[in-house]
Amino acid sequence: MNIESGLKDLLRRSEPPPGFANRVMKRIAESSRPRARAWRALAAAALIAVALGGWGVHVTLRARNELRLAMRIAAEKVAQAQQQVRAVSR
Amino acid sequence: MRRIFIVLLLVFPAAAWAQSGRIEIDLPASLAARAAESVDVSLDGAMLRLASKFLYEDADRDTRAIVRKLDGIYVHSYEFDKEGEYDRSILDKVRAQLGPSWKRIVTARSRERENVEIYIQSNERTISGLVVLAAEPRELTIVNIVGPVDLEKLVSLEGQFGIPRITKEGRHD
Repeated sequence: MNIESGLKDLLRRSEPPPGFANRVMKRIAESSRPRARAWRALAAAALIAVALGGWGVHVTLRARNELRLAMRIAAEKVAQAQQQVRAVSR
Repeated sequence: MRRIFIVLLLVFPAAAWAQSGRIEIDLPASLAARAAESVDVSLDGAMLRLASKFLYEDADRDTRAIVRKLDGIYVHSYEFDKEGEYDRSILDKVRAQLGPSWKRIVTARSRERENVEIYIQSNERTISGLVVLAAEPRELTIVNIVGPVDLEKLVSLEGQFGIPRITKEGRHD
């Protein structure tokens, strides 16, 4: 066997075994599925984090406004009592 | 033995509650429904600390300084269209909770303005609790501040929230 005929033999066109293409496509689909699932989970986690963060800020801002109001009322009532006491003691 | 244990379990938290400067303000739900305007604020220590982080405006500086040390603020205030819309026994129930550790420091009664009572609970040199009862025929306010509160600083807040400061002469600035 010379080199030329050996190469021809090696590079000879041959048909793949039956079902080869399906098996390859199936393998590709299987390998990409976990990654897609991970991305979806990450996106959901980010969405939940943003929603929780927004809700947290909303709750805190409401608490701050309530705090301002509570301090205003407390200060007003104590000041009023103080003023009445001063008025009597004059 | 088990009975004693159960009694102790019930008594100790109640005693700790009483010493903490916190009072139980048990108001009927119908009160807010009858009121023309109502304010119900209940902020415990954790919420106060959280809320105070958002007090970043210059006008909030003094409030932040006072609130930093507090363990709770509870304010219930109602304004009614007509007189006699609330049961005065509500005030008696609050007063009944104020044991010997509480001292009434101010009683201001007025025909024209509301009657105000101020009670403090003090530990040695600091005030650990404050209760303000302000009542007039059309208005009821109950304030409970838990923790060390400086009355002078608290009064100094008046006028910082867009409400006029009351001067010594009774005028408004």
